[in-house]
Amino acid sequence: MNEITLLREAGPGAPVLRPAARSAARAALLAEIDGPVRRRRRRPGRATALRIGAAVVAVAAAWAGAVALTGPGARPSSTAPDAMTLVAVEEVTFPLSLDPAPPGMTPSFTGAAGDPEAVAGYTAADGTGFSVYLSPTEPSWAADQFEASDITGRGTTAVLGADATYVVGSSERVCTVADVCFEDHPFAQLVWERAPGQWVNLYGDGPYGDVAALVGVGGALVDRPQPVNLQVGLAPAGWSVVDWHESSGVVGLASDADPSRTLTVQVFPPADGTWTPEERIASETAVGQVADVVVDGQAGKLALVAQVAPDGTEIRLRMLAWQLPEGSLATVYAPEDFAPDDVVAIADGVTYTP
Amino acid sequence: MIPSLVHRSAGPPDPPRLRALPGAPPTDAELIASSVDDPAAFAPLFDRHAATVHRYLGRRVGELADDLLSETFLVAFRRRGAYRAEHVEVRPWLLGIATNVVRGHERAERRRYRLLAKAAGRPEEHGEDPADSAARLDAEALRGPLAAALAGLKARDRDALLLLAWGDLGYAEIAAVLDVPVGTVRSRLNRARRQTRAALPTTEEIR
Repeated sequence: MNEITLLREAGPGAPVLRPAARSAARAALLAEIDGPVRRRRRRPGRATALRIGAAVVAVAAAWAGAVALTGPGARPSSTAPDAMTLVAVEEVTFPLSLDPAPPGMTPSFTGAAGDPEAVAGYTAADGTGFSVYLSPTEPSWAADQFEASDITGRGTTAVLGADATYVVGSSERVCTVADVCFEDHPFAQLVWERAPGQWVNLYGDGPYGDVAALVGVGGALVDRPQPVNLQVGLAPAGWSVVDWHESSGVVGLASDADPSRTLTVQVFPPADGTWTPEERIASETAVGQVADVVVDGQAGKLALVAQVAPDGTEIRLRMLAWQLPEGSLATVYAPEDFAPDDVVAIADGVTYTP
Repeated sequence: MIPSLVHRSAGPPDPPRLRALPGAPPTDAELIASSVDDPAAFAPLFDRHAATVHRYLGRRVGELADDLLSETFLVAFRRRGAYRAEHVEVRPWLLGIATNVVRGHERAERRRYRLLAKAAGRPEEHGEDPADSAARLDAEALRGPLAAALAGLKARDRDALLLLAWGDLGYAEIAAVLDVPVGTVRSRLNRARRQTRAALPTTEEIR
């Protein structure tokens, strides 16, 4: 056996491309492709704003059938004549739940406003688990995501009476996000149309790398929205939530009028390493003084930071870092022209439920 | 609305230099050419090649492949105007971009190989299975040394070797995507293969 054959057969293996990762990469590409045009479509519908009788930052996810309103409602953020108005943000949700909920598994959600696709990933402590991928059309690409040599079977079955197709197989070697490695690791995929225009692609590995286990998961799906764990309660009027990636703890917002103006809220759980606000600010290039602020009763640091844009130009952002009560570190990045008080007010509205 | 995505079933990619038959899906090269004026035409390339690119990235950087997959396609989209179908086909072109993206994470790649080498050195956790073939035992024994060998290669030599082994690229394709002469690819591959071979135990040592 020569070195090339050895590398192919005994070299390091690749992790499976999970639907959540694929969806996130695809969404990023589509956002790049569509650019400002796509974001303009994400503007909240006027009817929604009128129906609730207050200005809100809408989460225009086509798949999010039910949203609830949170936050204190519209309020001027400052007495200055040109002050922005901060308004309540609709709660971001994933449209389905599992009943009963799988014990010991933590869900995380990925989606984008205006994007009809969404993913919920359920992960056990060892990094194994399953993903629920929703799309309005049949994910015909799904069955081709696996290495042919890993596939051990294909077929059809039923989920609550609906025809479903499955693929089962085994990966020679897999290391999960929890850095636990497995040999001959089973995986399975199940695809069916759960409701008209709602296709479900379930992918599972380890204990869920089995058709019967996935049929069980599919049968437990119910139409009950689940809020994502990071919510941005207040945002400037005329801005929209554009995407959320719970696995990386990020919610992104953008100005409807100028989508290149963005606001990013991110949470770093203690498991990702213990950061203090000072350390987080120090990881950036601060321009000028770093101010002490108080966010929801917690100490924080606010600074103007300089970053290099992809085109090589320098951009400046307001960055606020503070500790959440449960120990996570949170940050807000906002455009330079946001008043410091507005950035603090936005941070005050952030809630995180680990 | 998201642009509708064209999906083609698995199989060898269409030769980009041939025109598609009437009614056939556009070839990769045709999609890239169209996407210069109509950016949405680029989207189907993701569905066609995401799994292949991720698999290549995954073997090199493990779970980091999720992030680098996105980066690879973003770079490819931004550089689509510079793509030349007569120079190289789309799949190798994407793997070349992925290789350059991995370059920015070389430390992570090396660390992965070292960890895999270390893990492979530990006693097997599963019990001894008499059904295990000799070939499988050989492969198991080589897993660690192979990973260690990869960690020890120069980055440019490793790029050439892994584009050949995991990307299934030919010498000319590797030369095209790395933008070096074919002779340079040959010398890099010779060196990489020699060093890899030297790091592997002999059959006697395995047994």
